[in-house]
Amino acid sequence: MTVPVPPKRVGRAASDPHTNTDAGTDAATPRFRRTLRASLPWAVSLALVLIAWGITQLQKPDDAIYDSFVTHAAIGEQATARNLIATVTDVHVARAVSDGDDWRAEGTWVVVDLDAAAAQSQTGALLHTQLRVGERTYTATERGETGDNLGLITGVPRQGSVAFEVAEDAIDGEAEILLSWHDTDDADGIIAVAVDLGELAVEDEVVLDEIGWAD
Amino acid sequence: MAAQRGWWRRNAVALVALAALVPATFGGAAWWEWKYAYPDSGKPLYAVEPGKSGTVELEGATWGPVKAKVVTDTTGLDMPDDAQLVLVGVDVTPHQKKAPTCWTPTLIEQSTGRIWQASRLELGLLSNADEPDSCVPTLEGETADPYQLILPFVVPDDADGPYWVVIEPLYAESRFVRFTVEP
Repeated sequence: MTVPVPPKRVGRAASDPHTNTDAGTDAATPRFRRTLRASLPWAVSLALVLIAWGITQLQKPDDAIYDSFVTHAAIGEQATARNLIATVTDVHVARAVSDGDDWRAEGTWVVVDLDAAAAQSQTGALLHTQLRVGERTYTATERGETGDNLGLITGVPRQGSVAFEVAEDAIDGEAEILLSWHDTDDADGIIAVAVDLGELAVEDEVVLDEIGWAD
Repeated sequence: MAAQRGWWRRNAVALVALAALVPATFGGAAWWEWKYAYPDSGKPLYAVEPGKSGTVELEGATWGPVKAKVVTDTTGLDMPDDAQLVLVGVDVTPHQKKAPTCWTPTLIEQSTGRIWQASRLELGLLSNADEPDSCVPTLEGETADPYQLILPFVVPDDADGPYWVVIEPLYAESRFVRFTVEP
């Protein structure tokens, strides 16, 4: 029954004071070395903390993997985003909107005229639109005969208008129209069209484009 | 006495059982996963194409023959410029009391993979029971009759054949009907 002596521990404990006394040719060097040796772990730790902080600054939020792939376009410019080909042909701001048939509503309205088609597949391809003004996001009205949920045909554009009822102060400045080809745009291509609503004349009433094939 | 026999001998029964059960476990799990990922997935994986008869047997029905043409006289239809109307007819003959149901039939351009569905409404046509554009379900108390799918596809002028006409019956273990047409 012999308990072996842990050799490493003894060796290391013995070597430290040994080297310190032995290597001390002048008085400053061992102290400097000791301080250096003691501060090294602190320096490394601090560096690691800084790197970790840096990574958190670079890192995108957890839901960034669902971000859309945005294709920017101007009014009148055709854009393609994966399964959607669309053109915003005109934008109006109005005090009333009507579909030229039974439906008419007063309020503060932003009306977007557009052409849209599916690029690759018609399966489940329905036009969805949003209007982003600052921090607020509006979805298009479901009332009336509008281009909301317009069925998209592959390669053959259809036209219509979508209308957004917005807050009074929303028509003073910049806005962004977002177009997608189905109800979720997670990690999918969307088209974004910037518009300065403040520059547009406020019309009394706008009649929505009739749904049909694009000209 | 028992101690005199070798370890392999003593455990012979268990070893034989193990030799059968270990492969069975892995085989069973692999088969189950495969079945879940492939035939049970419901994805259109296995195309069933017609032979010389021009017809396909699937899900208790005979599909085909198929007819396809480009309609040049579109009078009375709301047709866009720069587009053509590809009209496809598929005979469906159910053999069981209930006809198979299916997903919306599609037309696929073979060169590009672009996909179309029938566009009755966009052409200004109302839904018509005599011209079904999707599989006709058999109602309770009725018996399935043969019918013809009438599929009007609006495709852009730059689309070109050959096309596939694809019909995916439900519960067909990922098999689907695929015809090649060149209108």
